Amino acid sequence: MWKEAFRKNPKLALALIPLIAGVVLLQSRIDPLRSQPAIEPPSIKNVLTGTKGGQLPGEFILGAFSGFRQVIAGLLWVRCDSFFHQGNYDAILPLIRMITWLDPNWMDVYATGGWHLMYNFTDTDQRSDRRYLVPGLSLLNEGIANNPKVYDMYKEKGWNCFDKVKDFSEAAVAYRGALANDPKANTTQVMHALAHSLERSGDIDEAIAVWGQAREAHLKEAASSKDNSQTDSQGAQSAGKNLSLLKIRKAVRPANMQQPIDTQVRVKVKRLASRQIEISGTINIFGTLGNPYFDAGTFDKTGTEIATIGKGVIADGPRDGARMEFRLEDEGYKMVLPTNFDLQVDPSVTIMQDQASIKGGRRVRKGEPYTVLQKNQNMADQRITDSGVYGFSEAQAATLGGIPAAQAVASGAITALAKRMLVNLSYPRAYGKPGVYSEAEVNQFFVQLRGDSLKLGDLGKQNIFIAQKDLLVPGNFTRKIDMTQDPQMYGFVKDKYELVLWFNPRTAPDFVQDRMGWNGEGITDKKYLVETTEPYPWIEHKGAALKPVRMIRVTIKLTKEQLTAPGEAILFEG
Amino acid sequence: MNAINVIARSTISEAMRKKILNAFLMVGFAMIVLTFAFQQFSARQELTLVKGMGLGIISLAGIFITVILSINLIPQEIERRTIYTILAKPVRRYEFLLGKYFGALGTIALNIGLMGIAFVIALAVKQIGNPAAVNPLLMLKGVLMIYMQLVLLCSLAIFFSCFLSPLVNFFLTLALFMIGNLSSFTQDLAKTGGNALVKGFFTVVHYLVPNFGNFQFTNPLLQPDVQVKSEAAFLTQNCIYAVVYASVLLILSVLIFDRREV
Amino acid sequence: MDSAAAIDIKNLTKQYPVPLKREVVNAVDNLTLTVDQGEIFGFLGANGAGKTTTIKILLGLIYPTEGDASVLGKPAGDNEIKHKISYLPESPYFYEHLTAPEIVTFYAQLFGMSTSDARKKADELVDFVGLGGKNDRNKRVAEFSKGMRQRVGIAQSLINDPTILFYDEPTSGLDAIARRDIRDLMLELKRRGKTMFLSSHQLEDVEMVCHRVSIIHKGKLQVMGSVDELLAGERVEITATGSAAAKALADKVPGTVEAADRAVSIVPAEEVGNVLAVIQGAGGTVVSVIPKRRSLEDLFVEIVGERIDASTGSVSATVTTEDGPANLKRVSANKYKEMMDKE
Repeated sequence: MWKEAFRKNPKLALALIPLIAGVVLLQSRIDPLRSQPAIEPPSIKNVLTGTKGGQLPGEFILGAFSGFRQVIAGLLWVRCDSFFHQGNYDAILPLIRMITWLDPNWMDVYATGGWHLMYNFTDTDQRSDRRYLVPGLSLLNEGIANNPKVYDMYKEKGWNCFDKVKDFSEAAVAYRGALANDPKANTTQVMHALAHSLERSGDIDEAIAVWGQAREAHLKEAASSKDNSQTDSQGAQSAGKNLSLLKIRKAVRPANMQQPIDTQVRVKVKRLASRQIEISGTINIFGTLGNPYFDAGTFDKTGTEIATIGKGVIADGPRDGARMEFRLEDEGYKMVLPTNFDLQVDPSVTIMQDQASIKGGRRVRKGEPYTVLQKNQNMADQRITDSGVYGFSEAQAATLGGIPAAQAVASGAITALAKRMLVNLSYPRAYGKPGVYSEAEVNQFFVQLRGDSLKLGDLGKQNIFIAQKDLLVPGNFTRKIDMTQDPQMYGFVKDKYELVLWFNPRTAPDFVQDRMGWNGEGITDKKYLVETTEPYPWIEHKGAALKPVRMIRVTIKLTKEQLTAPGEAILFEG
Repeated sequence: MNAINVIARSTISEAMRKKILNAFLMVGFAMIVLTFAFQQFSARQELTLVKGMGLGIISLAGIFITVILSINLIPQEIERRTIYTILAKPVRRYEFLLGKYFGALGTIALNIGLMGIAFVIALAVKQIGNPAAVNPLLMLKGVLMIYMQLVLLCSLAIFFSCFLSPLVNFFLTLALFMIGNLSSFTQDLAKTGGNALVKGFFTVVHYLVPNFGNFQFTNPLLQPDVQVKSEAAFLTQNCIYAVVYASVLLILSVLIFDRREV
Repeated sequence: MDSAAAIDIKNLTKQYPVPLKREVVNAVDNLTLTVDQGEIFGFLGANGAGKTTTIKILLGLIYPTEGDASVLGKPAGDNEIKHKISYLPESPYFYEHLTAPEIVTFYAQLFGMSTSDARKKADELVDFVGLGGKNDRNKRVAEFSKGMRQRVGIAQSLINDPTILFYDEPTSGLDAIARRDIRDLMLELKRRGKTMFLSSHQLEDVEMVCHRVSIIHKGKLQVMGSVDELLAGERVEITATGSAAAKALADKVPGTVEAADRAVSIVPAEEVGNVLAVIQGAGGTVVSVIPKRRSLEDLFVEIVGERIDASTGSVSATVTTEDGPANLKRVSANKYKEMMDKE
């Protein structure tokens, strides 16, 4: 039939030759265009060839290869969502792996996958399983590699490095990648975050420069776009404010950090039972006493010009709000990101990371006000706390020999700082009004207070006394850690472990940094002060060396036996 | 030309009455509406899902409509003997074949067009107030690529229908559709396959099997942030590819149908 | 063209492979025949004899294995010729979703008519075949009876006022009235000098309508000639009176029916002399000597050795009553004549 068909219409049959040549030519021209990742990603082949990390049902594979990649990816994503609502995270990971292979440009999936890996694999006490940071970061790196021209993935990685890994220099690298590769990078999401990352990695000058650039970018965007002009003018304001504060801090801190704070760290590690430990201790963490005691001076709100820089910290003392962090891991563990990865974790690795807030530190010096707490009170009233006046228990107060505030005000037997404290307590600055009372204002209010029987009466009602002795109570921290509930997370396979406790000033709140420095310049400790370019030994820095930081780090070697033996025991004290 | 026109129009009017094809069209519409069920996702994810599902549904319904229509078009004329009276009229065989072919293309265009319009409208409605909104008309690029893919698929099925039974044709066409979607694999194997024989085989497969995978343009539509290199060239070359390849299949169909006993 | 034979078939053979066997079967076997213009040619045979195969070859729907077939001097299937011929297939099928006028319009358009001309023509023809009633016009073919479909088939076959009509079993499966209508129509076409290639197993129709008849069996042409030639008296009916003669005839001549003083004998022609001698010998009177025409049915049985079933068209079956819808409207041959005259 075919032979005859060709013989009967030879001319038409001959026309096939140039047409087929045309098909081949067209295909050879389409191939390179089609192979670009934006149209057909190479990773789709992994669904068929490398099912590491999960397996796709046959019909899905069939669908994926019949031009329904996105449909399959979408269906899997809907499935992921339902697993997420059921809390079935284990089922999500293989699906995430498949979806990112099927549709490597679907950036929400990497972002969500990274989030699941880095935040949602938790034990009963919500400690995330740090072993998942490796696949989490690897997944985000893959997202970047597949979408190098879009800022989203850099931003996701930046945030995860910043918030979860605490690798601020790596976060800054990621954010810089976003700026370098995508001109449409969101200024707030990327530049602000970059500035914060730089600040926390100790690179203050760069952080200041970036805040300035961010402000410029916002102003430019606000001028060119109608839709987002409000967002952008707010962004410009926020960037300007940060810029100003950073410049002020940079100017004032060297002076404020004089006479470093001796943290006097004491740590106790106790085994409560097999795989259950209690970490506790005390530490002096000082900060500025609050807004009324941080003299920023007057400055231009746009951040461009700084008229006068203030003195910075006017009064300091122990502050709540900083954290002691701990990590129990296999001795010598390093977080290594493999080029070829899957979403499974090594069951032989044990990592526990947790933290405890440092609180309860208080101090009073002779001639300064304090308040006596009621029996059931842990803390003084908010207004008293805000004005920088500490509360002491009755027992503690008994040692202070205090005289009622009204009496001291009348006699004038108080310090200059005490005057300011009482003025701040009695005449707080209007809410949101920046700056601090000047010396002249303090004196003026203090004179007013002397004649203000109502306010003096209030001081009495508030149990405000003036101390006749000094007293320093260090902050304390305590945390019970139960690692029996999640044997898959805490395998304790290895024999040797390290328990690291640290206080890193770079992650401390501003008001602590104002006294103890970005880089810990205002810290001292006889036993546990470490000056290092590697605040977290388990993180391998590939980029430029970090600026050195002075931090408190206590490294305790423990054995499997110590951690898993039954019964109570003190594992470390010192 | 007159006969081609008359037969094409009659083919469309008959096909648009076919219950099974209408069923696929209706399912297509229903599914497009159903994609509105994804409410629990963020605005951007929701749009990605709706766009991906919408285009996928149009494509899937289109494939079934095309295959079921095309494999039966000629055999049914023979089986029902309607072809006798037509070919006894002054209608050349190629005119009959082209009439049926263009009728099929018209039917597919109508179906895909209707679903495409429904999808664009649905998307426009869905996007109201969504910060990640894109111009819904951009989706028509994807609909065009789906259509060009179906033009090629229709040509293939009609070509097979000239000498194969509908059942064999159904599986063969779908099998070739799958193979043709593996362009990236065949391209790889043609370059990196084991020995010269394997390479040669896959080179032939890659260049001569209709590459249905060429027409997958969903990704850039779903991920508007992704930048496509030479988009216009890609789309144009694909359209030309579909037309040239379809011409090859049509010429083969004309040759073989000319000698076909009916 | 005009001088050419309407249909010329020379040594035509069509073989089909037998499924799953390495054999072929001859659907048409070395067939040679010529149909002149203006002739109504009957092509007689049981189902599967090769009639439809031959017609399909003549229309170019299938291709011969060997031999030649030409229509009006051009090879079978030539597109030019298709303007001058028409074809009514056995049990014609049409697009089921269309109405009769829509179908005929569709076919008329295939002749290159404009839509409006085609519609006009369709209206005329639909009226002519008796489907012009309001009810029938709006019905879809899907709801049509077999007779109605046949009428649509005839309507489409008349669009181009064809020179040659190929009618394949036009009366098969119809009731008696419908058959007579269609027969009348064919007679009218005959009167108008059309050439018709009429394939049928309805012996009676062929006998009445055709100038010339051929019988085909198992693909082979068995016999061909004018109806008169084929059926001319080979038997003679002799009626005699006289009781002695009647008795003598009854005794001596087989096939005699005797009644009192009268006898009727049907004998082969060569026996006529002997029979007349017997009558005269017995003193009887010859009342009549009538050549008795055979029916085609007789001829068919003689040649094929089997009887043909009028309704199913298969051989050796018992004859059953004709079925078919009884409510057919009559086709008026006169009306067609009027219509054609008007043009």
